[in-house]
Amino acid sequence: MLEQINQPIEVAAHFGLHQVRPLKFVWRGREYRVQKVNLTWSRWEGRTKFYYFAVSDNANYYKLQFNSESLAWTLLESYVE
Amino acid sequence: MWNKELTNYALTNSGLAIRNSQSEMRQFPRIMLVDMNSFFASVEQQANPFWRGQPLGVCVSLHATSTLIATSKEAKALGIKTGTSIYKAKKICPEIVVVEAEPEKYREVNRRINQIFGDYTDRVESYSIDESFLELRNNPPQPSLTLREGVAAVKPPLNVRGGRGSYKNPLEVGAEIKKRIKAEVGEWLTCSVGISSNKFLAKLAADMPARHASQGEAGGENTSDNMTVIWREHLPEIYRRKKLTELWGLSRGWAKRLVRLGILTPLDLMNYPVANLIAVFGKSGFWLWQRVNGLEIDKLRISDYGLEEESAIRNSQSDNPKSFGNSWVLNFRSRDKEKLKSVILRLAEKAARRMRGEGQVARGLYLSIRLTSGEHLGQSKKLAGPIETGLELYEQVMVIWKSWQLQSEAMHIAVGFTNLSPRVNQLKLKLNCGLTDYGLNPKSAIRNLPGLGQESLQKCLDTINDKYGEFTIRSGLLTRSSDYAPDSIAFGR
Repeated sequence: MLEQINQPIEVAAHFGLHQVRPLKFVWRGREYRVQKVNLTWSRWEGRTKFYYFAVSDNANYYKLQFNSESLAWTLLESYVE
Repeated sequence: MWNKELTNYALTNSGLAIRNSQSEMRQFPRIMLVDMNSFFASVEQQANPFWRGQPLGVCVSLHATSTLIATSKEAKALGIKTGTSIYKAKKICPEIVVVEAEPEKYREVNRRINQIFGDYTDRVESYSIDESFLELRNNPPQPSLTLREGVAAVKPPLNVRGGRGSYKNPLEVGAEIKKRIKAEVGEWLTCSVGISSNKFLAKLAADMPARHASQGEAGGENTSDNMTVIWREHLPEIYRRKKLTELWGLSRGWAKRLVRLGILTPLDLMNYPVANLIAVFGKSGFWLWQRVNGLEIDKLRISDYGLEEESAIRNSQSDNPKSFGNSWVLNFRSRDKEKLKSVILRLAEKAARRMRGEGQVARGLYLSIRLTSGEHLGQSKKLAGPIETGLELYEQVMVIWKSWQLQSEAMHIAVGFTNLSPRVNQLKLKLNCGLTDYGLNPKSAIRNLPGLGQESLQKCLDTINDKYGEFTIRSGLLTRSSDYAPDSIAFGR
């Protein structure tokens, strides 16, 4: 079931050559390991660029957002089977 | 005189085509169409792996009366196609996943896929969000010379992934493109590849079902993830199995006109004397005959490499746009005409940006609205002079809007430009030309621009919105309209 979350999270990410890969994130005190980054995209809102990461582990899907202006990460939605 | 010249050209061309068929057998056709399968739905399934293999539909609004703008192949197999309402889709399959469209996601995927194409040819036409034409070289191209700091450097030709080097034939290129899309963009993304001698037949090839596809399923034949080459010599056999209306761009109206000439099938059309088609239909008849016979007529409209000249040639052919409009199934219901005005302005601005992007102006317009009672109000109008901005369209449309009475709530609004022609010179904005000012401040900057000029202002507004996103800068009337007619991707072009 898809649920809208929209809450701030802490993220550990790998900044490689020309790509960023979230590795894990902490939400409500619990750590979630990212097994796969399935898709990334971006969009402008005014002069701020937002980056989106559709990630999953073996049971759940999460949509993460990175605000390049404030450098803040947000968990936008989650899907639990 | 023109008709005679054109007839001679066509006959000469057909003669050349026949003589060339022997040598063409040694040459691969070089026009390729890559058509992403169930694109929006596949991108959503790529993003969320738990939706893969499930019926899924993409919509603009989650309202029950909204229609699905894309469906997954699993949904298609159940008979749920693009255009099915959410309500009907859930009746067919209560478990169907319905998600709201995210256009920026699809644009990003489209951009990455087109980057892959660029490794094989610099002649790519991004025809729509999920279809691109590629023109591949048939023989190893000559290396080009570049002059850098006074020293000539030989640049090896394109056609190889990741660099330059030896030549690959179109089948190899097609197979490699399919593989790279899965490896570099998303493993759930598949495409159909059609290869032939012109765009028309490449499209026909891409739409052909897979060889061992099962038939008779509720969703029809499986045309996904295949690669097909159509050689001109095989056209008679292929056309024997097709109807006229199955040909790309051939509408029911066209089919009826052809039937009156005794042309009942694509095979009849292919063999019909071109001189007779020209006599009845003029240029359109000639182009149709050329396309159906696999003769090149449509130049690729190169994305990002476009030359002014090529754009002009395209505009002189039969695929000119006839109108630019936008419509929206409202995500609220209202009879408040004042509130609905900002919806109309937003739709008008969107249509205007697209039209200006194509270098067109309009001398006509239309406005239509559908109400919850089932009533439909609509009117079109020709204008004395050309217009090209959303504001101009809005002002003209308000004259019609004022006279309408809404007996029930609005659920769908459409507005657009018609009677198009290429823009020759920059137009002066014609605002408040004897029309009542519908809430637009006569002292506002857009009307009174000492020195700068209204046309320069429009260009500035377009540049800002091109860079930072639609409606980054917009009319004050649209301040609270961001939920109205949200960002979307047009069907087709």
